[in-house]
Amino acid sequence: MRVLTRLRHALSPLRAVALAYVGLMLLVLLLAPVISPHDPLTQDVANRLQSPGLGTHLLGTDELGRDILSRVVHGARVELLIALGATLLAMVLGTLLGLLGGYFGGLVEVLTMRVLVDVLLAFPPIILVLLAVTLRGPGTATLIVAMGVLFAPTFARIAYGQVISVKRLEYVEAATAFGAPTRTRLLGVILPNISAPLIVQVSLTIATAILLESGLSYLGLGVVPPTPSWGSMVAQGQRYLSSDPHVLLVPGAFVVLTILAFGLVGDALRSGLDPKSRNQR
Amino acid sequence: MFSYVLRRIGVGAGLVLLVLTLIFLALHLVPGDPAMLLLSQGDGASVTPEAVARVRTQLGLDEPLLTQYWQFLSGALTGDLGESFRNQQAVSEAIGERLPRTLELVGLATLIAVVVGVPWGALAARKGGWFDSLTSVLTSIGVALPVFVFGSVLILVFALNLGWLPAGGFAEWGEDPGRHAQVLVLPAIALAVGFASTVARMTRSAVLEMLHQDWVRTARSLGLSRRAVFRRYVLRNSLTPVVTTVGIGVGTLLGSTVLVERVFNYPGLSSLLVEAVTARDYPVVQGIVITIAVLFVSINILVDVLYGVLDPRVRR
Amino acid sequence: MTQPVLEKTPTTTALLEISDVSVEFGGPKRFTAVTHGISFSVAPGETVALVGESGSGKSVTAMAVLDLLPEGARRTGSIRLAGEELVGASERRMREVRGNDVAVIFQEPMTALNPVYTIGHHLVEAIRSHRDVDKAAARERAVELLRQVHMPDPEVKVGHYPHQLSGGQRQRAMIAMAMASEPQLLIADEPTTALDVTVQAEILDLVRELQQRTGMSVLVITHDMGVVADVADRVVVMRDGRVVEEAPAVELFARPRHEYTRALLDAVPRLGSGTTSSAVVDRDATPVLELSGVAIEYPGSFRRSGFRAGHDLDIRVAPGEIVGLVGESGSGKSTIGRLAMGLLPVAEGRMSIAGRDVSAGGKADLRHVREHVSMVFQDPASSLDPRRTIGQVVTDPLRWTGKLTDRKACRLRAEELLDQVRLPKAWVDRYPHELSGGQRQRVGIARAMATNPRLLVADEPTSALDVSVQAAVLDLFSDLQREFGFSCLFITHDLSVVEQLATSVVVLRSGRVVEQGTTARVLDAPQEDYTRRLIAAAPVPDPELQARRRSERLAG
Repeated sequence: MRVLTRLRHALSPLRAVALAYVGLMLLVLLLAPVISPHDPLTQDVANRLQSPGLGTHLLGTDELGRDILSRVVHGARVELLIALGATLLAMVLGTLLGLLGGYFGGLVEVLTMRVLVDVLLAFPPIILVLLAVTLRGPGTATLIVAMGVLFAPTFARIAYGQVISVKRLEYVEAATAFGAPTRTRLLGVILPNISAPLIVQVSLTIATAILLESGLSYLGLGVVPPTPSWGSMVAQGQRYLSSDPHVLLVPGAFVVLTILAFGLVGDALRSGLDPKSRNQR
Repeated sequence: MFSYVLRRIGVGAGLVLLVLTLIFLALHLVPGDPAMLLLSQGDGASVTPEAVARVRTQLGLDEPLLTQYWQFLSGALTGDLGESFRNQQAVSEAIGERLPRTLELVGLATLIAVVVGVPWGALAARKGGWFDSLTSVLTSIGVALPVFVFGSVLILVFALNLGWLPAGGFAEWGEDPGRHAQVLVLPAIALAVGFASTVARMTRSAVLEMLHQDWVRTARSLGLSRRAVFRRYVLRNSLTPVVTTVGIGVGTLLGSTVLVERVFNYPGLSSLLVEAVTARDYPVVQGIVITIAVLFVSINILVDVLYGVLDPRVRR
Repeated sequence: MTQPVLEKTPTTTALLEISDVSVEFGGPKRFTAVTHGISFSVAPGETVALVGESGSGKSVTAMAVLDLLPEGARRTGSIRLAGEELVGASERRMREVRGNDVAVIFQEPMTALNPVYTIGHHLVEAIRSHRDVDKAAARERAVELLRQVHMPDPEVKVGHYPHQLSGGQRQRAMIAMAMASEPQLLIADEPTTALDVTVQAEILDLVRELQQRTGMSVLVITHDMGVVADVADRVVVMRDGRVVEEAPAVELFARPRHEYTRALLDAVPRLGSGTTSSAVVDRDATPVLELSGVAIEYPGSFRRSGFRAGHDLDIRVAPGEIVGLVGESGSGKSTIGRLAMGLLPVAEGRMSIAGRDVSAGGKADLRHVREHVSMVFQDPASSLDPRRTIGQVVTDPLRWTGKLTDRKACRLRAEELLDQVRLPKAWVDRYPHELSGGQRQRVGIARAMATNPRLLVADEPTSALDVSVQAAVLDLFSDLQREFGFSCLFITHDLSVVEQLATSVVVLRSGRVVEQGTTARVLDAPQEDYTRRLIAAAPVPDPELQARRRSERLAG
């Protein structure tokens, strides 16, 4: 209840809009085939490159006459599925690594935090994904796994830092003193107390994942065509930039809005859940 | 301080070794025959045994694993990164040609980001009010802008509509210095916007945190003006977290060039990487990944050393 | 006291005159007052103590003098320094006053000093803030100032960073900064709260010495009646943002007029007032805890080697006995507590609990320890898991050891335990943050009682609490001990608490036992020099006695 009150205080009008948008996107994820007005793959060359307007094609058509709104809706579905999957994987992997490394210290810490985490952080994320794509070829599963592994270090670092500071608090020592088994100490005592920044990171990681995935699709190395994806739509649009900029601008705007919304929700969560953050005045 | 620097370099060297090992293992840990994997185009077309044999020899896959590992390490450390599948060019040579162009781009973008981001963030923290709110909105948008979308918009506005700057391409400094500089402007701005936003946010929150420290009150109790305390104490102490952010940001920027170089058709290291990934030219991909990782680790060492210079508590 | 005539204000003798000062904090809608119409004055050369418990508004009042309040706070009323009105003075004028006429030293010298600058840099900044001195001269003056505050090796320490100094040295550096421009008034905000008693005594002696040399006035803010008795000429007692009583120190301690002052003084445990412990000790029975020749080591890790925190310890706790473990920070007293609780292994020697040798530290040994030993932690703010209800917290030990798993039974036991520590049974569903510090510590005690332990390790259980709360918690503790007859290892830095509670005392220093014996014997007739020093340094809330002890301390 305390958390809810704080969350409400952290919610500026802008953030409220962002939250609503994120909710809408999740709805799209579930209902894409129902919502989309046309089939995203049906070509209609007679009506190619139509501008957005109040006709049958609300957001216009692309160079093959496919409905852009339908493609954006289906693209959102793929985009979010990959982002959510990768984030979930990263959260579980990273939190586990951070918990173990922070709690046990010593050799475990060296193996988890120094060897695994630091090595993964020694690459710009997109580079490692490209390495994976070279080896496995593009595809949804490759992307989820590669990005999940890549984003895990961020969660591991946060969890690790939190464990280190929580571990010193007397209630954790009390749990040891009063005979709580190691599993209870890690999952029952420490984890609930470090969860807030991890939840914040989930939202931010979804934003980063969308950024990364759309970038890969833009390069033609992400989602395999003909499945529509925002990145590849932007890439197509580039060819018609001077004559029909809407082909690029519409999917581009959705990428920006979605990343922005998840980022803002992350900020709201941060100032709501983490009383220490001084970002709020 | 000296031993601190040495220790950081030692840790960095160890990290490079681990990074190389990871890259080596990447090829061998992926399920399936790496040669088959690299040759298959994902369309189910059959691969000739001769082609597989050729790739195996080229990558040295027939040797025992430890021998391969040793050859890989010694090759990487002496700069011998193998040959391209496509045109048999030495990978190190190809990298040597492209790397300076990418570094120039990254350097310029970093410069813009720091020069804009740090004062902006500090000012937002100091002023508060509407300026702070505006900053918060602008930086949120800034970090959410994918470089390939923003870059395209820049082209649309400044190249296609206004015609002020070229839409892309490249010119050697020696041949046409004017065009060389012109070509760099838009890609550098595209790269810098997100980075500058991150730097501004970090600076803002670092300054805000420092403003609440006890020693600020101590300095004021000595009779220093708020302005003097801000300049001499708060800004100075805020630098430490900002330096870290910039270090990490430069690394991320190295990654983002992959997209920017494509948008602006800029023939740097990253566009070579994308070409190689598309053609599944493994030696080239591997060589570039190693180069970028080593650069990244070096930047981190530099950041750590700077951190030690800035914060006496770190150097023990 | 001779009082020099001030030029500006021949009519008044006060250096600082505060009348009807209120401090208000700006909220989202309106200002809320945290202090209400405070009035008092400080004469030249005089030391005035501003006393109160947390939340009394004493620090805020002192900071209002220099307008060093947090952003959004404002002061009203009148503050006159040597006749000049400071409320409403320009920021420029306030800057001239700060550090020049009035200097401040703060409670926590670690956070009050900027970590990235050397002590010398801080001092040079202080010296040059009001005087046009070149850097080399300022540097020389910095060393000179450090010498004046008796900093060891001033030429070396001037180049050190704050984290390289000890707590006492940092506070000396703070004082040196404050003295840079020889202020007329020194405001000391809880200057010794973070320090050990022997260091505290040194710092207080230093302040008095500097005061005698320069003739400055001192306004000291403290919660510690011992400190008040040690330094103050006059005392202002505050509560809930109001002054409840103001009197000369001698008079206040002898004849407190206000009932709150009386209660405050009564709550302070006094060294030399004899024991109130009524523990029934059976010295012939098997000891509950027995350490013979025990050494304790903090296990090393991958990069660090182990650290030995206890050497050759021989300690016995008989059934029903309360043993006080006293010592300063780093003495190893908490380490011994953690050892007894099974949180640290025995590196050498033998430890037995209730007759069983548990030195090996095997699984069965640990189970035996958990069965018989329990612990109350120091900081009630951090010893209770914020995510668990009080009912869960107090029965956790039973659940974790598998003694009680049934939900209903746990709830009943929780209610019973809360009742024992005099908290309402209905609070089982509350969370720790809904409770005050004293109430939380009661929950901590209830949790420790859950397993009906034979030995209770209490690690500074009252040091984070206000005196009046501390007294109530200690009373509860004695009552429970009488009722349940458990033995206790009571860890504290406060000799007067030990005297009040413990049947015997173990004095520790650097991980070794300096002296042990019955409480009366150790405190009345200490054999060891260090014990004598500890006793001499412990402040006593009695100005006359304190003055005598000070002259003895300085002579010896």
